Amino acid sequence: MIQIPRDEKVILVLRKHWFVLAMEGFVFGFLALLPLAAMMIGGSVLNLGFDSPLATIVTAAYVIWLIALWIGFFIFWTDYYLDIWIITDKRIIDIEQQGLFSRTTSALRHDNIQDSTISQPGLIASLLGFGTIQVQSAAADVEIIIPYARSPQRVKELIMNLHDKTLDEAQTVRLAPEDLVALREASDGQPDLEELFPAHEKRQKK
Amino acid sequence: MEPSTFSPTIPDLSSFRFSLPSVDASGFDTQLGAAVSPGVVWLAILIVGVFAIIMTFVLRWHWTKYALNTKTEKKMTRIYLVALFLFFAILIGTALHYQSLHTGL
Repeated sequence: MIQIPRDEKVILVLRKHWFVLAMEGFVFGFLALLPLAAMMIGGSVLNLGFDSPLATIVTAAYVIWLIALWIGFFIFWTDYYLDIWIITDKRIIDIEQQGLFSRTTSALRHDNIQDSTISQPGLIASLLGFGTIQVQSAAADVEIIIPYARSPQRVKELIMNLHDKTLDEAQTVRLAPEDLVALREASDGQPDLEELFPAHEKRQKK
Repeated sequence: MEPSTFSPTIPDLSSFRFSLPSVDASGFDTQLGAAVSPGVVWLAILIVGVFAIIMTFVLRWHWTKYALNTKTEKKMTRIYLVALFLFFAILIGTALHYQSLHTGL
């Protein structure tokens, strides 16, 4: 399981649009039905019933083909399901499953985001509402690409809002209570801390 | 100039029926049944079964280790295993049918 620190809040978990799975399912379905059509035509050409050895062997081979396709579809589904993008309040985590035995995880902190771009190529992408989101960091080679993301415009806005919020928070100075006590003790002869940190004192009183 | 006597005959399409060619494969069928013993079919089923078991363990390991949602993982496991058992039931039934045919040859 993916471990998210307790002080980090998960805001959104993204997977690819269901259209990706549907298209692959269509291909697998076609591959499953094609031999069946060939068997039906072959059966009428050869005038063989199910009681013939040839028909029985062909049926067994077809069922083995279906088993292989079924397992193949679930390998694809595993790859689809385990490709995840997790947007937390601190970073974007990109987990990419590559085949069955390879997995890459990368993260991009919100304050390192430089720019984000979305693209929705084609009629189907526009109609179904999915597209590619590209998030670039300050470093040239670090970027996160989210293909086939649902509602890419809203996700982009969410990411940019989190980026702005992170930058705003970075400008606010926060002191832990023990630091404040240490500062009070060290401030012998110095101006009162209420004068130096009025906003923090008000929050503490609350 | 004499009037034309050409009168094309329109074929009667109502009686036209498309039919696939018919091939007599009974000889080949008998030879195949004699050549392929039921043991070969059972061996093929065994190999496919071992492969399916290995792949099932591999897929389940991925789903339980990496999946975020246990409800989805349980649902997909159920769908996967039910269909797999169904396929193998049909396969074993076909193999048993072939075995009965082979003993009758």
